[in-house]
Amino acid sequence: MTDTPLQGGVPASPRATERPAAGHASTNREGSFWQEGSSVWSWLSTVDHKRIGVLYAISITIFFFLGGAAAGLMRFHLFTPQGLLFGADTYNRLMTLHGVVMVWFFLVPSIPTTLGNFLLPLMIGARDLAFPKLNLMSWYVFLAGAALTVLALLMGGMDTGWTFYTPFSTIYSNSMVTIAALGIFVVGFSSIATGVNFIATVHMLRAPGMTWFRLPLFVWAMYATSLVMVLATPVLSVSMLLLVAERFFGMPIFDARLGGDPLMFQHLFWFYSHPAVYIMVLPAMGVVSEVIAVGARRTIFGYAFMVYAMLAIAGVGFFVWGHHMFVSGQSPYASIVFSFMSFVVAVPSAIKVFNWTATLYRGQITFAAPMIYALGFVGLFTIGGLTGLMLASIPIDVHVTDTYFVVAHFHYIMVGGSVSAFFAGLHYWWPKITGRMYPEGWARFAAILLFFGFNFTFFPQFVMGYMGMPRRYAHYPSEFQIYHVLSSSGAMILAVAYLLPLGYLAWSIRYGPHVSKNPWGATGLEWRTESPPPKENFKTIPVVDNDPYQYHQKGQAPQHGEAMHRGQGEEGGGVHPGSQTRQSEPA
Amino acid sequence: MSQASGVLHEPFTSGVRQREATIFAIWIFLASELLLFGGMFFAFYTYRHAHTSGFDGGARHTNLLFGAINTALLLTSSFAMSVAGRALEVKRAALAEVCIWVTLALGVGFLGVKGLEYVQDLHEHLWPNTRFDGADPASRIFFGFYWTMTFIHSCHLLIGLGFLIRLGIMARARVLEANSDSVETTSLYWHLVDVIWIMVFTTLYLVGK
Repeated sequence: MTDTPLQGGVPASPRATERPAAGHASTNREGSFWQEGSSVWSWLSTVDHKRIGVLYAISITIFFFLGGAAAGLMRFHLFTPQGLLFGADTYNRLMTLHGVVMVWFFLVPSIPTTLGNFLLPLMIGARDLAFPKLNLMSWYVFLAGAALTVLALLMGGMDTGWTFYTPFSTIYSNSMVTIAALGIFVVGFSSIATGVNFIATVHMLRAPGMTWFRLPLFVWAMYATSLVMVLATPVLSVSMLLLVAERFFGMPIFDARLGGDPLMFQHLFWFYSHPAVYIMVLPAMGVVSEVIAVGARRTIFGYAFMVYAMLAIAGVGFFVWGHHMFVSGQSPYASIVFSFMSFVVAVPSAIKVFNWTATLYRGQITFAAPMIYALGFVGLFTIGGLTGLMLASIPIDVHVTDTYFVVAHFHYIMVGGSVSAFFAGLHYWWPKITGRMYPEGWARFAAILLFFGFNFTFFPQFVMGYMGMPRRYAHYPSEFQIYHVLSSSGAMILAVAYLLPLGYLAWSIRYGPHVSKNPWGATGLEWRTESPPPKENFKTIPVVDNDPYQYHQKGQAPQHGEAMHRGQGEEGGGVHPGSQTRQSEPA
Repeated sequence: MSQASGVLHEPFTSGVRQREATIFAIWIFLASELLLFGGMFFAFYTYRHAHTSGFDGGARHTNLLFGAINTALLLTSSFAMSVAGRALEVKRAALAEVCIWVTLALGVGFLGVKGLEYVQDLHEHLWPNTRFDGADPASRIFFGFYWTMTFIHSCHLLIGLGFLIRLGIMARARVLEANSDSVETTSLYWHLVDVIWIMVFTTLYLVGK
């Protein structure tokens, strides 16, 4: 562990660290943030952004498997038209559990609070987030909201669907809506705290020379996401409060019997919940931009456009919520505007897909596991996006509203998109976080299995949705059985693809081969410090004097043989991270 | 903004930068808070557009006297809070402390008056249940908003009071100067509570009276 001066332009001597053999007694976690106290209290009271990222990762993993178990049970139930396991009421509660847990306790916090927390300060060359205590507080607030929601589940759960539509949720439902709504209210403050912290950090703590347009795209993604979190979440909070006010205190705010408007709730709800989709997918776009650049040894194509596209998505995303309500009876003129805006928001998304594809052009592509996940993201996101355009056009939406077509569409974005990207990022930064490499063969197998399992599960849902199979039904006409059987079988494959990483990543924490600072030969400040990083991140704060993603000389393609070496160390990289000059001879 | 923080916390290496960051972050949080109330105001005015007479009828039942007293109390408290910040800058610690306690007292006074008003409202059957005293059903919706908005505003005020107590204790111990960032952030939050009250007051007590 030599202390290399981290001055910009000076190659950070990536070969300085020898990799000890796998299973070697001494670990390279000495002096890392993992070693700063091992008691439970040292973790529960930590203000280190890296440790908080780990705490969040553990918490959301639990919720991911809770929500996933609910999905698995539902899919198993739907093998036959009459259903195998339970009645309609239990089905409704499972479906609501799946939605609530996955949206607010996994997808919204997933990438920002784990990878974002861990990487944002490292990527901009800071020692921590701007407000470390606020960061820890946000985790406790998350736990408090989670506890309320789990309490609601233990007391019998909710049967409203994750959307909590009035008047069912306020007047008719006999389930634990109030407690769950309060849980979601509370967890919102965790999002807001994270958002405020990220925005302030990006504004105030960038290293010398790290100008706005030298920020890695992942940082831009976190920034855009944080803006949406800060500005959209409070509206969800207030819609949950109004819901509780009506249900628990009898305030007749959405009560149509007195002239109240149940649609008001839908407007407030979707004002948050559509931007929430961008909270889920913008971080994924950030991860994928990083991984594709390093996996293809290519400067990202159209960096500035990528930045503007993300900001445009974050901005325009606030004005499309009405496309969830085309059949609700809202004004047809409003529907036309919302339809138009939904087409508009597709433009920056398409720009991003084109730019990722163009980044691959003449790259030296390596199909390491993160890259497979990332390429999977691009494909699945494109399908999700194109079907989104279909849903943005009013006539098709009216035809397929509340069918499996919609379910398939948003799962392509949220699961095929966000979860694939989360796994891409998890594998890509795993050596940085743990100091160990995951088993590449298993990881690639899991990545491919995920892609197949996912399409197997959700593609049949497009077909049956278009044919008229409604969503949220515990029973169905037998003509749809073939699609349900396909979908349910796919879900079982998908479950294996999710469980595999849990196993081999856990294994690699103890037995994986040690890695050096920069096993991928990647650019970016996070690769200039130790793996795993010390508590203070950098021995000296780096100075940045080059643009991001300089994997090759400007105006040239990377040369043959410069591909990343499948996570086996930096031997394969011809370009030193952080340096602009290409070495003539590999040392 | 050119002032520096009294005490430096990780990860900042410059007091000026830390103060900038703290104040910047609190402004972002205030934007978030505005949207929280913004949702309610949006809903209120949309309904008011649909049920003008019912909402005007509701507004006539609110007690302008209590509302006006409370507006005066909060505006004065914000003034006291500003004086406290200024007094700290010119190193008059005793005055700063007095001003913080005055702010706190006025805030508590607001809650007291609000409590009296609530008692009177309940007495007049303005809780929007089936015993509600009002002909137009839309007036019940008005009072749904009345109770929700004033209650959520009071919760914000309570949180503000908590921060003020913290400042008061620090002022008593004469360590306020070292925590001038807290004075600034509490002050901004307190002004927000004030600004939102002015909007709540206008919306519920004045419009359509």
